[in-house]
Amino acid sequence: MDRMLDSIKKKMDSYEESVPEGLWDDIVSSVSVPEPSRKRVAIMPWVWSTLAAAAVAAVVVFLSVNHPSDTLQTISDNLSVVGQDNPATSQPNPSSSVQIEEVRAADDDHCAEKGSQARLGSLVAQATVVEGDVQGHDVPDEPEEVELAEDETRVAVESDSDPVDSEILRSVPHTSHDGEDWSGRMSASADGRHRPSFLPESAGAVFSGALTQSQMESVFDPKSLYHGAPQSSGKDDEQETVQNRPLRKVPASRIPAVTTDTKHYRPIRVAAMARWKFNDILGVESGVAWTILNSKITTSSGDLTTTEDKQQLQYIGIPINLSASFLNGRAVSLYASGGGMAEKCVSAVVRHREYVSDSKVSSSSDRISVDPLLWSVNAGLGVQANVMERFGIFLEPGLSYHFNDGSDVQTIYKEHPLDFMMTFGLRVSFR
Amino acid sequence: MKVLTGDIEKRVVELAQAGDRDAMKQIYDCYSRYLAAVCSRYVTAPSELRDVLQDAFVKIFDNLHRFEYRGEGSLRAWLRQVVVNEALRRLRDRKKSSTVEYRWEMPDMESESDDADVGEVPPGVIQDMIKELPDGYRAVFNLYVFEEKNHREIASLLGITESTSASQLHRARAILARKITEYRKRKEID
Repeated sequence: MDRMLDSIKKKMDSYEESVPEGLWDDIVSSVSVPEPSRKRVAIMPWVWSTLAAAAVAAVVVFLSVNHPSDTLQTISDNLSVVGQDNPATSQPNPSSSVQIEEVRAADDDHCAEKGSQARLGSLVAQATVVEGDVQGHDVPDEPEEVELAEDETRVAVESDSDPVDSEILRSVPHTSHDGEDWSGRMSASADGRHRPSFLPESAGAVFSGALTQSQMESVFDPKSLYHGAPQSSGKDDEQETVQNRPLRKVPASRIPAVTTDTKHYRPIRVAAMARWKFNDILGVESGVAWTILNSKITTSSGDLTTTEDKQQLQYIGIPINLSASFLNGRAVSLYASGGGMAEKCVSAVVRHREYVSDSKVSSSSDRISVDPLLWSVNAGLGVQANVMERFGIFLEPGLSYHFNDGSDVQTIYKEHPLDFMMTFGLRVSFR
Repeated sequence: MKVLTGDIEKRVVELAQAGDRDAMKQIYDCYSRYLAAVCSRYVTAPSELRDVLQDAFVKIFDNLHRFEYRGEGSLRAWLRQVVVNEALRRLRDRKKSSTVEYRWEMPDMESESDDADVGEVPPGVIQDMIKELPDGYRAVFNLYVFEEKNHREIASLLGITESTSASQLHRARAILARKITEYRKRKEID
C-alpha cells in the first residue's frame, strides 16, 4: 500500500459517526436471545441418555446390515494324500482290479530305490486332470502292455499324445507294511475298470491355509497324479499281480473341484471424537475408533463337503485428523477431514463349521493373533448435527487407504487397500 | 466514547454470550458509532445504512456465541468484518435487482496524480470524499485500504476480475488524490 493510502487508513482507523435514531430498539426486538445455560445443564442428562440410546441403536442397525465385498475364487486342485503310506498286499488277489503301487514323477529321483513290493507312496488317492496343467495330454482308456521285471515294479504310462513321459519307472522300497492286505479298503470290481472313489483327504489340511490366505494354490506335479483304478492289461498272466497292473488315467470330470468362496464384508466403524478449533474453519481432532471386520470363507468339494469359516476382527484405533469447516450452521455443520490412524487388533476369532450333505458335523472356535499395528490414511466429507453448542452427531463418508500390516490374516483391507469408508459417531468440540 | 479494554471487554463478551442484555447494550454503545462509520463508507444512503446496521447487529448478537475472544482488538475486528460482509451483501443484492445499469466502470477521466498529503485533512472530510466515489470504486477502495484485501479476494467478493479491481483502485486513488489536493488548495487560500 502506498504512502497516501496508508495515511488515509491510519487517519480513519478510529473515526466514528452518529448512529441512526432508535436503532438499538429495532435490534433488540429482532435479536433472539439464547436460553440461559442453567436450563441447558438441567436437560443434559436426559439428552445424553437419549443420544446414547440412539447411538446404540445405530450401531445395532449397522451391524445387522451386510454389504459384502465378494471375492469368488474357484480353484481346481490336484489332491493328494501327503505323507500317507499304505501297505501293499502280501497276497494279492488275482481277481482284484485294484493295484497299489508307488507312483512318482518321472523326474523325481528321490524315490528311486529298488524293491520287489509295490506300495502306495506319498502320492495319489485321487487324481484329476486339470486343463492346462497336463499340457494337452489325452487320456487314453487303455494303456499299453507292460512287461515287468523280476525285481522291479513298473507302470508304463503310455500315451500317443504324451511325448514327454513314455514310461514312469518306479522302484518299490521295503517297509514294515509289506505284506498287509489293503485290497478290501478299495472299491473294486472284477473287470478291473472300476476305480476306487476316494474322498479328498487333504481338504482339511488345505483349508487350514484359508485362515491365513484367501487363495488355495496347486503345487502338484500332474504327471504323478493322473492315475485311478488299475485295469487289466488283457494279458492272461498269472504273474501279473494286482500290484503290477498299470493304473488307468482318470477323467477329470469324475474328480470334484474344490471351490473357495471368500466374502469380505464392508467394515463398520464407530468413533468418539474430540475436536480442538484453531479458528472458525480449521481444527484438529482425535479420539477412539472401533472397527469390525467380518469375513466368511466357504470351501466346497463337490456336493458333499462344505467348510465354513467366519472370521471377525475387532480393532481399536486412535485417529488424528485435520478438519476444515465450510458450513457452520446452528443445526448442521459441513466439513472436510483428513488424517491418519493407527489401529490395534484386540480381538480375532475364527468360527469353523463343517457340513456334510448340508448337515453340520462339527464346529469350533479359535482365537488368532494379529500383532502388527494397522496404519491407514483417510479423507472424507462429513455432516454433523449440532445437538448442542459443542456436541454433535456426525456421519462421515470418505476414502481410506490401509497399509499392509505384514500379517497373514486376510481382510478386505488386503484386497482393497483403497476403499470407501463410512464413519459415524459423537463429537465434542473444544475451543 | 466508551472503551472496553482487556479483561473487562472479555467479561462483557462472556456475559453477552450468555444472553445478558445489558452486556449486549454495552457492546452496542461501545462500537455502534465506529461500525456506522465503517458501514457508511460502503452504503451511503441513510435508509440503507440503517437497514444494514440493524441486520449486522442482529447477526452479531445471534452469532456472538461462536466468537472466541482472543485479546484486545479481536472483538472490534470481528464486528467490523460482520458489518462489511452485510454491506457487501446489500451491494450485491442491489446490483442484481437494479433496473438501472449498475456502473462499475467509469470513463477514464483521471490522469496520473502525485501522492497527496493527507496529514491535515480532517477525517470527516476524507470520509465524505470516500463516500463521493462511484459505488464500484468505493467498494474496491474500502476493501483494499481498510480491510487489506488483495485484488484476487476483492474480485471474488465483488464478482469482478482482478484487473478490474486493480484499475478501479487506481482510479479511486487518483480521484481522492485530486480531491485532497483541491481541498488543501482551498484551505490555503482561505
